[in-house]
Amino acid sequence: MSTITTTDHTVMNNLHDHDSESSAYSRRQLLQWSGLGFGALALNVIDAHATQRRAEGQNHAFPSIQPKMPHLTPRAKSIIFLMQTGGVSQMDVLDPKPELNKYDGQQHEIHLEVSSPGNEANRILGSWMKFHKRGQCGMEISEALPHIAGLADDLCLVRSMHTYHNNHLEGWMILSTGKIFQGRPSFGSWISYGLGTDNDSLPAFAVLRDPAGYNPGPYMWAAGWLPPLYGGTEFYAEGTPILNLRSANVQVPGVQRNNLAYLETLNRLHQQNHPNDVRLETRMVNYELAARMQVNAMKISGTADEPAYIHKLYGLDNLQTRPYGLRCLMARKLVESGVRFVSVFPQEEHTWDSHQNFNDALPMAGATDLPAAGLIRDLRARGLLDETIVVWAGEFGRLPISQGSKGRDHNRNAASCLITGGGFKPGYIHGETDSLGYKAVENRVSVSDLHATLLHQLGLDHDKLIYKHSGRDETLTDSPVTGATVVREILA
Amino acid sequence: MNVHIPNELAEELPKEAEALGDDPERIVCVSSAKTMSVSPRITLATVLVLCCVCRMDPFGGKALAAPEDSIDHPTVTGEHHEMRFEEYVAPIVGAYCLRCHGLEAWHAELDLRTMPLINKGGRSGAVVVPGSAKQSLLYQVLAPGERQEAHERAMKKVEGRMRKGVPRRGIRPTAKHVEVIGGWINAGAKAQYTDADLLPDQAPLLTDEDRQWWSFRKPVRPPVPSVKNQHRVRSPVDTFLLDRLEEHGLSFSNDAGPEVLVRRAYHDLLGFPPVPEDVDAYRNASSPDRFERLIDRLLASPHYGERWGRHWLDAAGYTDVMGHDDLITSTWLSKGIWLFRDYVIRSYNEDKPFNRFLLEQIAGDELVPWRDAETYTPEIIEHLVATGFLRLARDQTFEQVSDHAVHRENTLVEMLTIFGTGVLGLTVQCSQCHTHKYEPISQLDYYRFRSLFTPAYNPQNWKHSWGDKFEREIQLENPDSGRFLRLTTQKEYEEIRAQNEPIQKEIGAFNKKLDGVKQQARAEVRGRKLERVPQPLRADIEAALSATEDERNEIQQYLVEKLGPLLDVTKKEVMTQLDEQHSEQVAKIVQAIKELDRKKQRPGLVQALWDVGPPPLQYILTRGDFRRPGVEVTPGVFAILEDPQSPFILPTPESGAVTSGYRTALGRWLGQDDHPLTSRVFVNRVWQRYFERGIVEPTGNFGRSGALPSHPRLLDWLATDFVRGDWTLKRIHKLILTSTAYRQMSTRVGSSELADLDGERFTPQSIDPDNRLLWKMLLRRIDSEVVRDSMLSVSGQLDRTMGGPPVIPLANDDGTTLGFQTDSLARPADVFRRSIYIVNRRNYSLTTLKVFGQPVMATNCTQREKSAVVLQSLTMLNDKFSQQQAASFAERVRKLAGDAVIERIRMAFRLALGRLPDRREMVASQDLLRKQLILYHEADAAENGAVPADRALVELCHMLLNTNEFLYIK
Repeated sequence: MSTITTTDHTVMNNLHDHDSESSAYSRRQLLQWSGLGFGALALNVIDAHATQRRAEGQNHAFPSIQPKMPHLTPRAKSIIFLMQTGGVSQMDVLDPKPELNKYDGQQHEIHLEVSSPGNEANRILGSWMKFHKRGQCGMEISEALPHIAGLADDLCLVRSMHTYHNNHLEGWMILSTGKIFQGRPSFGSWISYGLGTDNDSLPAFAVLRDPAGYNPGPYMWAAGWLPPLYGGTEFYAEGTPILNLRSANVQVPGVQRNNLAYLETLNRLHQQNHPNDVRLETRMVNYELAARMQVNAMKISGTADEPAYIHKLYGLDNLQTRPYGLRCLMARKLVESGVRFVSVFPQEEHTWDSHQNFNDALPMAGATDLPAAGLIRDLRARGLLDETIVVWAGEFGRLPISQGSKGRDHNRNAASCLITGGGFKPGYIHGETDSLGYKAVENRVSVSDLHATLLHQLGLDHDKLIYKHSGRDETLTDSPVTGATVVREILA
Repeated sequence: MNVHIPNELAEELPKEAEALGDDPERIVCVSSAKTMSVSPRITLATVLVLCCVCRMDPFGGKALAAPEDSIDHPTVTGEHHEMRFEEYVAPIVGAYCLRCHGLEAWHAELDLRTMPLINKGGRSGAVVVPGSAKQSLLYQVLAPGERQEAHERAMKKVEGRMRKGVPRRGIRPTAKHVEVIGGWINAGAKAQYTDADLLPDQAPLLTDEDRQWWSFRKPVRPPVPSVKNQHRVRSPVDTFLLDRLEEHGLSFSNDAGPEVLVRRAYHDLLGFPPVPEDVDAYRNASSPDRFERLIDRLLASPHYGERWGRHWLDAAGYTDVMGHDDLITSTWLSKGIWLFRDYVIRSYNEDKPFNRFLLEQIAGDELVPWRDAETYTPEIIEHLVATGFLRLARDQTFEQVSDHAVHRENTLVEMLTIFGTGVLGLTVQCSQCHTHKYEPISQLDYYRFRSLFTPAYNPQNWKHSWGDKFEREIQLENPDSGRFLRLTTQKEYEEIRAQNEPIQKEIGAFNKKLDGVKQQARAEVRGRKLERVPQPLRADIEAALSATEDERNEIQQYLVEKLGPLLDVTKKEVMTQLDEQHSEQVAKIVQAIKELDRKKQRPGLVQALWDVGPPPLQYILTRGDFRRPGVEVTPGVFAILEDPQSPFILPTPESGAVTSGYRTALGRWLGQDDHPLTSRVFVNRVWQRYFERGIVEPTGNFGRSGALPSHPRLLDWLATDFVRGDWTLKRIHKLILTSTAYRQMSTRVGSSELADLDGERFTPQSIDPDNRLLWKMLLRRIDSEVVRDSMLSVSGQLDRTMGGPPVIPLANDDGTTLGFQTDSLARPADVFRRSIYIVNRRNYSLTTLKVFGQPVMATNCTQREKSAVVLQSLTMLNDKFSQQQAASFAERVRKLAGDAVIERIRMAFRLALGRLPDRREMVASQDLLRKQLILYHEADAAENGAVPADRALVELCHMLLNTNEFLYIK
């Protein structure tokens, strides 16, 4: 089996290196490879890339999302990333700071780094959210997340996250790609590149965004300079799950079958003149897969068959929680079907961004808390939580001082995040911020550290998951620059 | 309390702020495995930001892993003689002073970024007198007193001109900060970094090995080799190829048939397939030079410029949007940039000599006397439009939160990246932070080269990139139009204004009316909001709000800041408050205003580049950090490319000159006949378009880290011949297109054909599996634009109108860019314009194109992605656009072929694939039509739709568009 580093020769590599246009690929093999990876969405057969790489003297594996052997024994199979966009106010949600209330209204002793106007007074703002000790472990979580708080004994809470930019776009980029620059592959792409998937009808990396508009940008699931098949595929939790999965015009039954058979005949005749061109074969396989996908991918959509308790668990019965609940449910079905990485985004109108008043973020909490907790409970009940990691994190935290009157500005120096499942220490709190929550001071964890740790749990060594790009061995974490290390303290 | 975080210093411009207290005095450059002593301290975020294009590590892991562990801000008390600028003063100056004195402006000609620059002083002389704070201007402007007041007034003025909402306006250092600065001056104003010498590794010596690298030496026209298969030589190109083929006992494949050739040439030169008549005409022509004639005809077509202009637009990183383009439904159109797109198309059609084309794009503004022109002649406009080339890099400064030094610097960085890979074929961007690791390009080189552009692209005198939403500002009110020039003289502009005035008055009247209608609703909303303010405060806040900013006392100021936002009433709130009758009324007035606004005349705008002042002093930016200028540099070109025989001559601008002439010098130097890179890089890219791979791969890297050319002599022959032909491209096209190499079949008849070599038998396949030697033509996937344009062409819908503003498709919440809002189009047929005229977005191009590999333009694109993903199959099968095209295609077949099934099938094949079906294909096609007919008959029993036979034909046509043959050109 293939390992991931591009220097490794593998069975496939050898085949490929031998000859991209040779007849070494039997139709059977192709079907197997692409089928295994459900190349479908993704299967992209070499050509441009392979030849280019070879011209550069590189030795890339045949791009495919067939399952690959990880570097280490994996502790988990997949990740669901619940993206908390907008910047969670950690001191109002996950990181209680009683001193804030004590000094409420007083000037902070130092001028804090801010991102927008309204902080000039530099005055400390207390929190009116009530924190309670939850579970056996006594983890303190505020009333903003009552349902997630109920799972405290399952959660690993990191209170010492930090990042290095305090604007949303850049923060999202760091969270999704490790750096603030356009063009880099997203976290999920690295995972589909590194692990592939063993599902034969779904991609390795799925994205569930708000179909009504929230738009953090495609770079959050882009393949960057990795081959495009590793990029995220957008799924819709309602209706047709994938773009163009169904015909724009209503089709008379049987018509497409005839069409595809005819297409196959024409392509086969055409291929006789170009017998060794793997691209043509790929494209023919893609049509078969497209046809299969139209049937299979539809199976995971819809909630009509779900029992009543599932509707309740994910909040599908409530207008406020339903949209996010549908995406959480879809996320569960996707990982159940072997998808490696699922990004779940909140609603456009709901974000944690609360410059004027923390209460502005409560709709976000209200819309996502119950479904997220439902997802975790459901995974646990199905025995999937062991092999699935659920991450609840956003691009940065917020400041201890007030903006406007009751709001808080962005803060890159401290943030909290929640992780559960997949071998993370349950009921455990890692790291600390200063007494007012401006800066992570104990056991600081950078975004790249988090990336490294998550990869580690999937069996991937972040320093070995390499892709050669423009002459440089690139990694997600770029540890020589970022200093990323696996945070072993948070692993069980 | 643990709030004594050393963050007095974090008082920072947010975008640039980072770990100022960080103290990596020694920074390890991991990737080059060199230990570099870097001082003074570095600003982490800026380095990271600027290293965006840099794939090297700005510093070792430690620096980032624990950047703030080491922060320990020195207390003010203590022994002042220890104080050094870097630790004590730089953070304060960085937070409060640098915006005006260093990063975004040099007010009073003062740059406070480093100690050497501070020592240099400004317009009023020295600003620091070591040992005496009282005598130091730097201290005087901060400590209470006359100087401070004067400085305060000056700052107020500057801030007044700043855009609304710019963070940190009105922020001043605290008394404690001033005390630190005073203490530091009194203690001797010491600094760790006091001289600005060039570090040895910023400009290492070039080695002989570097100089000998093939691409840094002038191309020399090689002799044409003699070959065995002389009968296969049609063009000198063939000789060079055969020379290599014959080494391996190989030769070309057979000539392709006429249908294949015509189709190939149409796709390559025009970007869509021929109509059946074209194919017939060619087949029936008897002249021996019929192919040459065809080529001439195609090269003369205006659509040639659209196809080949696109290739240049890729290299130049053309998009119709201004900034990141991160939101699908809201983007900033780059106003008037389409003029550049049309300029490129026109230049290709005119066959403008490439060195001239390049010169115009680099320095068009310096070639025509536009500054004093009475009126802008077409020639002047053309030259100004050409400089849009340098305006294609991402520039986010139109947005107030991104109006910072870091974004300005980043735009320069990206512009140079595009220039490097697109024109020079070198990865110059790597030298931004340190001397290039693989190439003989020093950091000094990089900043010398950059200095050629800074008279125009000046971070301290920035021309903002207003987007379309600032149209009013650009055209009417704002004297600072950023990077835009109005295509009118002042007099014409005044006339336009005068003509618009009555319309504006009418609009004003309507606006008043509108306010009247809304006022009631606004008052109601505001009343409710006011109730949320505690009773005792209501009167006070009202009074505070009604006072002007200057009138307000401190308490009032505080109230406005705190409570003002609470009372703001949004448009949306007003609209919801309106009852039905009133909202109808509002809608009507808004519509009327819109219509009036449309009647206004608007001066055309062009995005151009021009020198905004005399050449500013330029420095090496230490580790790429714009806060740390090092040694001063003189403008120049890369040392490795300097040649005493054809040197780069830097002009010395006379005093009072309006433009430096630097870019003209650069353009002329690049366009010298013996320039080692310009012609090679360009012809290599032309070659790549025909044979998928360049002779050098990758085409954006001719440096030592790139690959050796597969046919070095062919490359040099082409490059020198290109220059001999006065740098005109159509000649080169013809040389390539008429060659046997281009005209051969993309398949080897009987692929088991054997070649005899040393008595052993091989297939060409086994000798050269990658076909690097071109023993057959390649089967090529057509580009994304060609996929769409070809479908439209086959369906008969293609609208061939050329030029003009981009056509904007619908951007949908679901992440797709599909369909058009027809009533917003200038013409209904715009929907079917060629893809080059559909808005080019950085991230969200038309979905139909994106699925087929339309590039994301982070900077530019030197190689298209053409792999097959299943989304393509789904799109071709199910997407509305492809189904519509299939229906139009079928209708066209019916019109042309009548009712007979056989004729319909023949016509469909001729239109889609440029040939007749063979016997097996005919049988299969008849079979399909019959089967679908039956299904549609059955279905029709239930519904009255179109004629079943016609619907069956649509299926056939649809599948022909889906075939591999349609997508891969033989």
